[in-house]
Amino acid sequence: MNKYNRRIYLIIILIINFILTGCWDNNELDTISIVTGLGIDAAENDDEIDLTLQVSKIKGTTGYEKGAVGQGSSFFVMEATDSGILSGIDKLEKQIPRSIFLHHNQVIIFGKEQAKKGIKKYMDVFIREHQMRMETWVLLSDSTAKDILTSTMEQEENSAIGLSKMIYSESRDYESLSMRLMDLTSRMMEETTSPVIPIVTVKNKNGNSEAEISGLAILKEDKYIGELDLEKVRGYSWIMGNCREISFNINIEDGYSDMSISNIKLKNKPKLGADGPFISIDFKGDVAIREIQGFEGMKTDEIFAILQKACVEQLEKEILDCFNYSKDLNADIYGFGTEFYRKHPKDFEKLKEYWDEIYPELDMELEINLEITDTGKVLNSLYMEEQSDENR
Amino acid sequence: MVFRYISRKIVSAQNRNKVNHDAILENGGLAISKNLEENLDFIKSAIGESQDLKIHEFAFGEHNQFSGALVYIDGLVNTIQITESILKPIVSNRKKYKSLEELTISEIRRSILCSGSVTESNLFSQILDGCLSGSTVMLLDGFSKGLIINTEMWEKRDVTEPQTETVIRGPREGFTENLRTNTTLLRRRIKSPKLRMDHMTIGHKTATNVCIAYIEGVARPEIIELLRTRLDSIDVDAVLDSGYIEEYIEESPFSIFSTVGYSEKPDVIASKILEGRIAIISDGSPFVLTVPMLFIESFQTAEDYYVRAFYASITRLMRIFCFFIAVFVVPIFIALSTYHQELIPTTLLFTVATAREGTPFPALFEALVLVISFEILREAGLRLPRAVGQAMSIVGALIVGDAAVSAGLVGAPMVIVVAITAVAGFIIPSQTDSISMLRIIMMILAAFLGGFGIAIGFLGMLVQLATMTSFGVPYFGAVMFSRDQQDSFIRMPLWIMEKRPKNIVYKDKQRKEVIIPPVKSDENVKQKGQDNFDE
Repeated sequence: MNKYNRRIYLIIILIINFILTGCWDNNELDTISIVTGLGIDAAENDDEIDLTLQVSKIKGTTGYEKGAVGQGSSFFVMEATDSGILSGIDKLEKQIPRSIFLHHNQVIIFGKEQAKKGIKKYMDVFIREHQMRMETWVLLSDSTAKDILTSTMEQEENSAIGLSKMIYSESRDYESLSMRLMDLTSRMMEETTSPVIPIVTVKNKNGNSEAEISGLAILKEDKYIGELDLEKVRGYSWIMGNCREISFNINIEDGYSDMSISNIKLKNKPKLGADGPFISIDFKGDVAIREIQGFEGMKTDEIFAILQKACVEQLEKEILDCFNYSKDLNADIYGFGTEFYRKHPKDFEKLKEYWDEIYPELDMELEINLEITDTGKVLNSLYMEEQSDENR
Repeated sequence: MVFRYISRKIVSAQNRNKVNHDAILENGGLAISKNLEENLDFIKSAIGESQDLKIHEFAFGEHNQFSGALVYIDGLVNTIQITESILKPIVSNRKKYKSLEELTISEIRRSILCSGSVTESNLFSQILDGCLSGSTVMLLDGFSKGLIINTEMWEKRDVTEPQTETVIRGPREGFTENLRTNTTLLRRRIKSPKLRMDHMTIGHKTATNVCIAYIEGVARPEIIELLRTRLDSIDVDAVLDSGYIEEYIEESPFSIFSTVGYSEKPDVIASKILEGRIAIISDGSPFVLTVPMLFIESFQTAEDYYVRAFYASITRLMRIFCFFIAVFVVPIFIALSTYHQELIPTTLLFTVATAREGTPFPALFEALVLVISFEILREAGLRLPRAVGQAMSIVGALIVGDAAVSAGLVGAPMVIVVAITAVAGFIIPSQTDSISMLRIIMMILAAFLGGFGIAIGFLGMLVQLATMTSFGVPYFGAVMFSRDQQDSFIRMPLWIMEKRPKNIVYKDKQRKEVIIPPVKSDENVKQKGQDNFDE
């Protein structure tokens, strides 16, 4: 056996390897159904769940006839009742000619009933299964998950994809209004924290049912106990500090103004005082005036002074509203417990057991410093008095 | 069985002893006789009754007592030169020679003939060689020696702009099929006395003149020696193009990458010679070979050195990027759409899936159909006359491509992907062949093993490239960390590159002594310019 002979044998063996094994794990694109949304609802039987899948319907376009796409809904919804999620999917797989492909799942939606029962035990599969992505949005439906997944969207062919885009664009301003699977699992792992999940409600618009974000659901342990409406979500977001630019409005006697706060600098200090633990919050931000109504006959300086004061008051009100609400529910939605643990790990070991008693009594020291830095394109409104030169 | 047969063939071809071809010239090895008639008869019988063999008999001397003959091949010689510088002086020479003793061959050569290159010979083999390569042979009655007078002149192509390597900025001359013209073009560029041009003849039947050009002290002697031995051992009857030589001297004959560089431009060859490479010029071919060749040379073009360094560097990086596009984009597309759909962004996945829906073939087959039909179109476009080629590419590319998509045979994204790779492959002309082969190999690997297959293929390619050598020089040389980096992925400004490539050059390493940045204009010049401006 010489050198060349050996080489030729090697090549033949390599080629045979390919041909005999064939295309292992080969999945042509036209043999998979792409799942875009996954919903979990409470079933009649307590041990079981109603699994809903939104599967996109890919319409073949022969050549360049693109007209066929976009007429009617381009997805369909499948349902199964089973005790596990993957076994439910296996059931569904037998109903369609293609294999179910979960990698591109956009949203995981829990029905309200199921959320009241608890969601923890169904989280396991999302963490364990390879096909599930940790970046998927987790949502809570105001009614059932199926309602959301069957709803349509005006601008998107596929409502689950539309929903995920909606949450993404919302999360650029209010990060609190979004919850990824990854964040949810880490929140759930923190012992004292109550995670919050965005709530989606289905509204009837022009004969179509469309989904919209309506607030945040509060989970104590893993069970639904209450929710924050959009105004409280703002109060929550101020303290979480993970917002880029949030707008709010002030309605006082003299007039009305719409403003936004950016450049937020937040210092969140858990402290152990003589009377027990308390939270000290230092909030700084730049205010931009977006709209002014009223304030007739007043000078700009005066208006700004009034607005600045009103702003601080409004902010304080919103923050405390939300905080008090969470104290009423005894749900540490901010993760203050974890904050204490980070700053005072040894002391917190003792506090941890009593956190449920401590939290409703927790005090907050709030200091807000705001500055009006931006008035938009103009300084004065049409009906405001010209500012005198001396004051300028 | 088949493989055993093939391997036996290869081995026996390697072991076969060199055939002694001197036997062919055995007759020509005879010495010339003193009788003119006999000699002429012998030449006639050796060359045959060819129409272009001309024998011109003449008489000279005071009383026309001496007789002689000129033998040449019509069409290879300059007839005016024969008349003016051979016949006229010898026939009109009225010097008194009484007998053959007084008139010697060297006497004729020195005092009668008005030709530059004249050699004496008494062997038929040399006389026939001379005659067939355009010299005129003078035989005289009563002498056992003949004169071979160089009178070469034949039809040849002018020096024109090369078709293969066009430049926007830079010299436009190209080599021709004539060896002498080609060596002239090189000499004109390198006027150093150290430029050596060694001649040799290859091919039993064609006796092609081959010239090795290098600069002494810059080219490595061991490489020159290696090249000489390889050229000497070429045992072939015909060399019709430098491509014949390339196949005999390359080091990895079974690799898809070429280890011998080539160019049609004298400026490119001159620069390679100046870097320490050796050029092989073969008569009858406008393509001059250079050895050793590094992989990175495929990405260097002549124009890189004629435009400013920044843009040259960008285009060179783009060429390397295009190599990867040309080889890997189709395989990656196949791997993604058949194995790793999770890697495609969701929106793009829907677009791709929509196009995929309803097409009957698997992705590999689809891609192979497109790639192979593209190769067919390319080949047809090359072989056809230029005017027809245009029409064909329109029919092939536009009509067939469009119809295939609208008939639902192939998906539109696949057409785009294949088209991009095809165009990208053309950016690196000297690797086009290896790219199209690699692409198909990678496509098959990707279709069978997905991303893993591509990884294996890429590693295999790297291993192959890294193990190859060209005349003992690592093929991947300039890619490694060394000073050759200054002219590999990017091209540094010319004034920074003060040394010749590390692996190739011999003793004379410095291009210049020190790095001197271009001189800044001093204040006086500035002031002067300002004054002119003010006026």
